[in-house]
Amino acid sequence: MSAQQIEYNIGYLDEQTKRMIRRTLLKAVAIPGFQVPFASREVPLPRGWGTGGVQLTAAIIGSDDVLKVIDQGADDTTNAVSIRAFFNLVAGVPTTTRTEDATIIQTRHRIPETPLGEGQIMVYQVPIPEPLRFLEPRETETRRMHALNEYGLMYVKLYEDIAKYGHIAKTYDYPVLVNDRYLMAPSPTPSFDNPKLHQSQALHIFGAGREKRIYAIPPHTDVESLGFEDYPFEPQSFDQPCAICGSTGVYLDQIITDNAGGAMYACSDSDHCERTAARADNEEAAS
Amino acid sequence: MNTTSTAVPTPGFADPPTEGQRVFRAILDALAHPGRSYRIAGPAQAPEALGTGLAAVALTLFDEEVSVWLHRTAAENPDVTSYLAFHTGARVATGHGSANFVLATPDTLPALDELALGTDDAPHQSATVVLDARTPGVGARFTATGPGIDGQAEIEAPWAPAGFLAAWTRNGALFPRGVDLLVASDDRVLALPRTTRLRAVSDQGQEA
Amino acid sequence: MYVAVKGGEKAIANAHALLAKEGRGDPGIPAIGRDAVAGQLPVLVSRVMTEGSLYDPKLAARAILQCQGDVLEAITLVRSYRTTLPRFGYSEPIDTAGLAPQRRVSATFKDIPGGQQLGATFDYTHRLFADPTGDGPTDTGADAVPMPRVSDLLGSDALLEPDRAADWTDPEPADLTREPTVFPMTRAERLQGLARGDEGFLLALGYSTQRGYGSTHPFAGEIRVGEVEVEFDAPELGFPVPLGRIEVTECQMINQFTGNADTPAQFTRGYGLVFGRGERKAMSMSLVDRALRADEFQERIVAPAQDEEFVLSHADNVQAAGFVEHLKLPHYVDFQAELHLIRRLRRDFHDNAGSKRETNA
Repeated sequence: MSAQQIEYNIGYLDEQTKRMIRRTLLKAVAIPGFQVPFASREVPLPRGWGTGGVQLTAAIIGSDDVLKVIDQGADDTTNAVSIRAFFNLVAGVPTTTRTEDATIIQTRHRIPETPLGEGQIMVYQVPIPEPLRFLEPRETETRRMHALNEYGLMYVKLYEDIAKYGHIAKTYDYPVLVNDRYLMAPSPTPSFDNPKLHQSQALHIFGAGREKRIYAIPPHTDVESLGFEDYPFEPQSFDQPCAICGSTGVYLDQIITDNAGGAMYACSDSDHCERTAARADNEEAAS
Repeated sequence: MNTTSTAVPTPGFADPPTEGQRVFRAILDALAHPGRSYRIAGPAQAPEALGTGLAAVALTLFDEEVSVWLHRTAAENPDVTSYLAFHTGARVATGHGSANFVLATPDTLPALDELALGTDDAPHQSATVVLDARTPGVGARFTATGPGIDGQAEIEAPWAPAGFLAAWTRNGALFPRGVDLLVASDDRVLALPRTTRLRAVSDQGQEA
Repeated sequence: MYVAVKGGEKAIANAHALLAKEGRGDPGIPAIGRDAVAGQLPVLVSRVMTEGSLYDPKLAARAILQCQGDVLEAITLVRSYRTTLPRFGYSEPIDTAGLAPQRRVSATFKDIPGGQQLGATFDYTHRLFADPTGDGPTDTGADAVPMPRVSDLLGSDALLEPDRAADWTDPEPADLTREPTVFPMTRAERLQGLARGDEGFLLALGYSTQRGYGSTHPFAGEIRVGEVEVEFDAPELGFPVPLGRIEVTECQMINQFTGNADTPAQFTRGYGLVFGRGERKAMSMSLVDRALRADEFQERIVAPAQDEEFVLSHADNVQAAGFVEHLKLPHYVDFQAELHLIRRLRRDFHDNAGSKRETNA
């Protein structure tokens, strides 16, 4: 066998695997926020590095698509570059960094600043799909809680945070209730991004390869971040604008600039930042 | 699958990966936007009892891991059974109660609550109904709300069988359990996931 | 300075080039060939085949070389390739009773039909450095004597639980690589998970059962190593066709007896089977298999090795290594979110402390 040339299928996944993932995905869309088990395959990435997202993208992508891959909001982080290169190698689809040009956006940890439009699909890489996992490690138990719509455990945790710190101490992977029924982990995106999920125009699909689960939020679906009447959900926000493009109301990376703890804050969304900065330059040149 | 036909089945997709992907995206879009119809390109020819639309859905979603219940005309048609056996390998279910996919016409649609509905633990283990919309049912117009719909949507449903609204309302009440519906004509597909709520609209456009 | 995080593509290309250079070592020394690895590191090759779930010694050797001896990387490489291979069908179950053992030992009886056969083992080597000698033995003693399984000998007197329960219907086993994992699992699924599981993890768990964390009182009923025929039942032919031979190591552990008012006392079993020569793994697997059957024998579940979800969720080293190592990936965004919160909590703390001082003053 090893004497032969090793050849992989176009798009890497075989048609049978794609069908299995596609059927799973259809059920995920039909039951918003419910984690559908699937026979996750090994893919040529380490488990935990986006194998769920890669399988979803491979199962949906076609020659009409334009793919954008981001990690931490940026198109140029090594992991984003690596996954983009993988799809270029095995599927030969065009890629872009412009959010509005993309039909499929595979992401780790961010939702782009540019509002998503109808027909776009966000593919999330999910490490731990179970929002209750750190409160109850057993799958058999958490499965029962979802079946019974019994999410008291999560509310107790959030309440304990308030008692201890005066705030809900959850800053990313902030739990949401989808379509008023299923408690769902939005993956480790910052709570800043949570409001973008509510009544979004795009389809959001989530793949956890190692944990073998797929779930989804259809467009125009209610997605409520948990909170209490007297302690409502509060997405994080930044006081300062981006040091590069001047945007406000965006998520910022802290970049350490010297040994004395000096720092600057710049957009985590590299596409948004570059284009806002370029627009500002053009306007300056024009005036 | 039992088949008495010795004829070679008509060809499936000419380019399965590409065509299957396009049909799948249409189905995915349809489920994500309930009631909206999307274009599908089926195989060049398909057994008449199946039609190119249902054939496209079958070629895209069925394989050895899937069981399918066929309405009588299709089940008794060797062109259909040999086509599905050859191109998909799907198992034909003898009863509709356990099938993963249920292929029916408006006249032959079994009672939805007799199909696989999933469990509270595993609501995804429920049937997907693929309705052949080439022949009309009694027809109806609905206002639809739910995930995937911006506010509300009007659905023209010539395919709706008698008593569909009541059956669909009962199906919705089972949530998270329940069946999902694909409606396919020769070149279009629309979908109603179990989350879609329907209300009847009278001929004057008033909600009944 | 913002530019510093750019240039990912070039960085990756350079990293790959450097990795290749590191893996080549001194260019003045001939590179190791795949055949050399397959022939001279057979135990390592066995492990990569077992945990990679693919019997192909040459491919495993190639993976070991490409991964510069990183076993877990090699297993990942094999698995990622395996998953793309088309399935033509399923072989018949292999018959290990029929394998002609190259090695066969039992710790339960001094002599057994067919005899004990030491075979190739490190067991009685003195662990002293020595120069290798490639001379084979003068007499391998591998005569074709039937060697029934020890478990069958005990089973014929009903002293050992039967291979399968009386109401066994022989259902098709689920395939862990093709169907979603849902707990609780059947024993067949568990055994698949254990066979693919990390040798070190299973060794530690097996060891823990011997130290009282889910004790199963094991005896090594039989360990056999040898080649066995793989057959494929092609429906068109109506009879099984041999596909070839694979080398396997099988361990039948005989454990603690059970019995109650309805069933007379009998020993229970744990089972281990791996590709190639992998005795330690097969033994560990059989210990953990037995420990995981606690439910079946109404034993109290008190130890990690008895906990199905714990064991099966963490045994797979491709998953474990990936997730531990993913901590290397950037987490700027979630870390920033935490920083933000912790700054706010500290501000609150100091504000409160300040107002307390004011109140006290």
